[in-house]
Amino acid sequence: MLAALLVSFLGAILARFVVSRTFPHGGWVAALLPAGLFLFFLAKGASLPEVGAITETLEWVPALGISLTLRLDGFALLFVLLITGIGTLVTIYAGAYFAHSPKEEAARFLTLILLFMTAMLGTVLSDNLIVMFVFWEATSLLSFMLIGFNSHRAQARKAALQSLIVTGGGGLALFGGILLIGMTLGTFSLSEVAQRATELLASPLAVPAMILIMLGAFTKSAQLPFHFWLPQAMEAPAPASAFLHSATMVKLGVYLLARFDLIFEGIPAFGATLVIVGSLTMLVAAVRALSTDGFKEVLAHSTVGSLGVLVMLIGLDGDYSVTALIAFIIAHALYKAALFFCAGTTIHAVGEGRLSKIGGLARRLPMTTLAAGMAAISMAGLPPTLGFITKEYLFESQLNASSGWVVVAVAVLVNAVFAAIAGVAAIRPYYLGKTRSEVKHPETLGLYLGPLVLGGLGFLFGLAPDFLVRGLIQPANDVLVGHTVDLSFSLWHGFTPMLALSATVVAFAGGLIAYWHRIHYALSLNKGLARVLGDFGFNAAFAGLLRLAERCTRLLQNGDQHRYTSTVAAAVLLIIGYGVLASGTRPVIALTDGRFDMPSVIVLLLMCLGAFAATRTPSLLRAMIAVGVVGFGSALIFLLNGAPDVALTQFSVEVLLVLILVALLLRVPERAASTREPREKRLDILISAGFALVVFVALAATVALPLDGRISDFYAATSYLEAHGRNVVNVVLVDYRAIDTLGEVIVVAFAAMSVWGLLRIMPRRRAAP
Amino acid sequence: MHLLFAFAIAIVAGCSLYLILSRHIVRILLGVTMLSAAINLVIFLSGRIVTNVPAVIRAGESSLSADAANPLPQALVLTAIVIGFSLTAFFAALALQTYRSLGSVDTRHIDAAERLGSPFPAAKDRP
Amino acid sequence: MNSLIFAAFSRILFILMLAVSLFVLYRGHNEPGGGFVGGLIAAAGFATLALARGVDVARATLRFEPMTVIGFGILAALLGGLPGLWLDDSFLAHQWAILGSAHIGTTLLFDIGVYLVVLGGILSLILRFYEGL
Repeated sequence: MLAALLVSFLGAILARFVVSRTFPHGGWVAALLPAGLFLFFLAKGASLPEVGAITETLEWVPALGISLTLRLDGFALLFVLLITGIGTLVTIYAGAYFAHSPKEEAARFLTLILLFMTAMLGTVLSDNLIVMFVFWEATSLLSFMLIGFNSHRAQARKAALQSLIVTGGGGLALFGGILLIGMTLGTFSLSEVAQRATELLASPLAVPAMILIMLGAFTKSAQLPFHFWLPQAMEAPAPASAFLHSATMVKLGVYLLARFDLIFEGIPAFGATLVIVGSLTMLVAAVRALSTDGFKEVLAHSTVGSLGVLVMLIGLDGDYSVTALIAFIIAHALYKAALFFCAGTTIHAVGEGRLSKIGGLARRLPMTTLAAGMAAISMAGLPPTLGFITKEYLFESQLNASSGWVVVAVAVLVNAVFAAIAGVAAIRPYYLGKTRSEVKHPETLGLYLGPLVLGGLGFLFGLAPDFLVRGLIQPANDVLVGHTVDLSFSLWHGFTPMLALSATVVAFAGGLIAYWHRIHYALSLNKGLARVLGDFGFNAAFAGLLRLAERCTRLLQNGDQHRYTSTVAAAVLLIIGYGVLASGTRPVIALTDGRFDMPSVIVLLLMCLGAFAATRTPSLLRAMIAVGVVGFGSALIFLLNGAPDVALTQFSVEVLLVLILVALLLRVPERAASTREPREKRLDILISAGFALVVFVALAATVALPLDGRISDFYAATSYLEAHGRNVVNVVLVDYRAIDTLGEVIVVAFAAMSVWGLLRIMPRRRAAP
Repeated sequence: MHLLFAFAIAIVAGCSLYLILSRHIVRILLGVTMLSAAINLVIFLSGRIVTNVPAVIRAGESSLSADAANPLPQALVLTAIVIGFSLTAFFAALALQTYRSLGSVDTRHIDAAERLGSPFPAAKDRP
Repeated sequence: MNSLIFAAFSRILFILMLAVSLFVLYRGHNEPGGGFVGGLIAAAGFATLALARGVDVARATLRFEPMTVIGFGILAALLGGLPGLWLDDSFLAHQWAILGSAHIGTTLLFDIGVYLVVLGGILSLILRFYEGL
């Protein structure tokens, strides 16, 4: 399986060259890759009933417990076959769809599609949660590229960015959840986590982990309140939409939730949340589907609704919910991909995406019409299709569950809307309408093969479900339930409550189709509803964030150096002050220590006066002299307190400093007009006083601590014996810390070179402001 | 005595910050110079100031006597002084060059890289 | 800066300061002094010359470009470290030759390097600042 994944990846890269060489038949050639993978996994799957699950491991980052473990069990097999199977048809379709575009575009698109397929395969095959997360993010990234494929369209760019922000943000939440699980159990292996579920649930981190993983799944599967990105995502070219919406990527969230259902089922809130969120998503999607006119939009909204159904089914307890879930995943993948293909062909053919503007295409696009009809019958849940069986199971599991009648009512309503959409999508563009749309691009084999196969499969599985049950549904069911359940599917259940509900749905749907225009008109008038149910919240949050950022930037980065300095200084003071107060330790201040030295005290006093004078005088020369007093004062302090070397250095430096400052002052105006408002001055005085206070407290606290003299003692003891020098300070500089000194000397050299170069340029003066 | 040192250093440091907060380049430069003097004293004080005997081993002895000053902070301060001076000189060169090219020593007039008031283009200039 | 007396004495003052700086450099290992201080004093000596008689005179007296002096200084400091690398496998581990009561070590070479860099560096600053004044 590792090899298969690698082949898939390399094949996708290679596809770029192959497709542009074999253009315009590249789709057929490229389809060999997913078709081959489909057959490979089909063969693997045939051996599954005997071995249970196939596992392959490759160590990746052993130090972090991350290994590239792939695990194929019944549930993964279901997804793998859907991904590669529909992937094959998507590739063929895309080749035909892009037949009239530049060949580079076709090659780029097919490469992205195949990479996308690889990433999805990786996600469902990974047993290691970290590896799964990597593939998961790869699907987000690739769907960003696919949705924004028509990058010249602003709408496509916006949709792509929106999907990336939503799914990427959810990905972060998921990653957090995975890490919490890893912290709790010390493993990232999904199968091991499933075995140790009770251990995980006992931990206080279980609920946060559950919430984070749910967030990840809800964003990916477009559940309320993240439902808005998916309908926007149909900005992608039709083949990508078919792949994104139907089979796979958005179902990864469902896949994840189903995987974690066994683990989190001990937490009652898990199921309840899923049921509530799923039902609300279904309702919102139904209302939005009724209020839109675009062919693809209608389908996209119905996808959101279907995802709501799936999420709700995971949350339901009782028998049959798992079976209904699996059957619905398959049925939905088949009919929704087919309908997206048909929509793509139709829109491509007439160059118009609004349902109310196209009609009468049955003669021009006969095969597409046929395929759309077959898929629509499955979507509407009419016999003899897989959709019908699925719907029966959906109602049965709801009636069996403890969730009450509200959920059933929602399901009836939403299914009616689905059926209505199916009817509208299959009939309106082909048979109805006053306008007879012009066909620019006629249908070709590549364009109608996919939908016909998928639509036909819906019927085949409906008439002969046994093959599907034994091959796919039973193994997946066993994995999700945890033990073997005997399943028997049949088209005809007899006169049951479910049949009555189905009849209600059909009747309801008939009404909806009849009044489609009026409902649509009424709903589309209500702009507020569309805003609230759409991406209004996202846009508001996004715009708010940008406004906040701009306001912060305006406030903090206003080009005024004074503001920068005072902000930094004030922030430092606040942080230190908070640190001192929060630590609760009162600094010990030793009042009597050291020797009292009158000359030092006088010098200190002079320094203070000098410092004050420097701040008060408007004359730069006087300020310089005052600063010089401070400098010479510090030299005297060194001299008076046993540091003649330092004093000598400080004296020399002061002399040279005066020389440099004089050279500067000879050139700039001598009197410095005040550059600060009185208000600013008061604030600056406050900050400076605070700074002085902090310095004082810190120093007082420092000198009250006992001195650790180990390093000094070492120097004092060994300076003469080992380093042959009596002046310990100099020995420290040139011997013990020689490499430091070397570095500092080089800093001096650099500073000198900078000034040397800087002052060599004589700038041309700009007009004085 | 240590508290007196701490107090004086704090005063000098506070005054330095006040100068640094100015918009006049030369005053900022003076502030930085004074602050580096204050910080040299901070390092010196953190090694404790208790004696006036230099950290030199007397002739005939093989190690530093116990009443001598702490040599470690002195070595650190010594390099700090020279580095601080280099920094000040570089700063002075920058100030000089700024004045030469702009004819002003007020930071409000240095706005080639960043407009004063807001980094955003005026509303009418926006795309 | 056109005081006659200052100009007349500047040459003497300069020689004196240079001598003091060398003395301070040499005795630095055992008495207060050393490369940093020595370099600063020497730079101050050249600065005196520059103030009294002009930058060009100071330059002519130095003979080398200040940048060259810096280069020599860094070279000397590095060379002072090399014997240790060779003998002790440790860069800047100083080596000593004990001749009776006099100790001569690679520290002196290192200190000379420091002296030269400080002299060259500070002097280049001063000369730049006083050029064209």
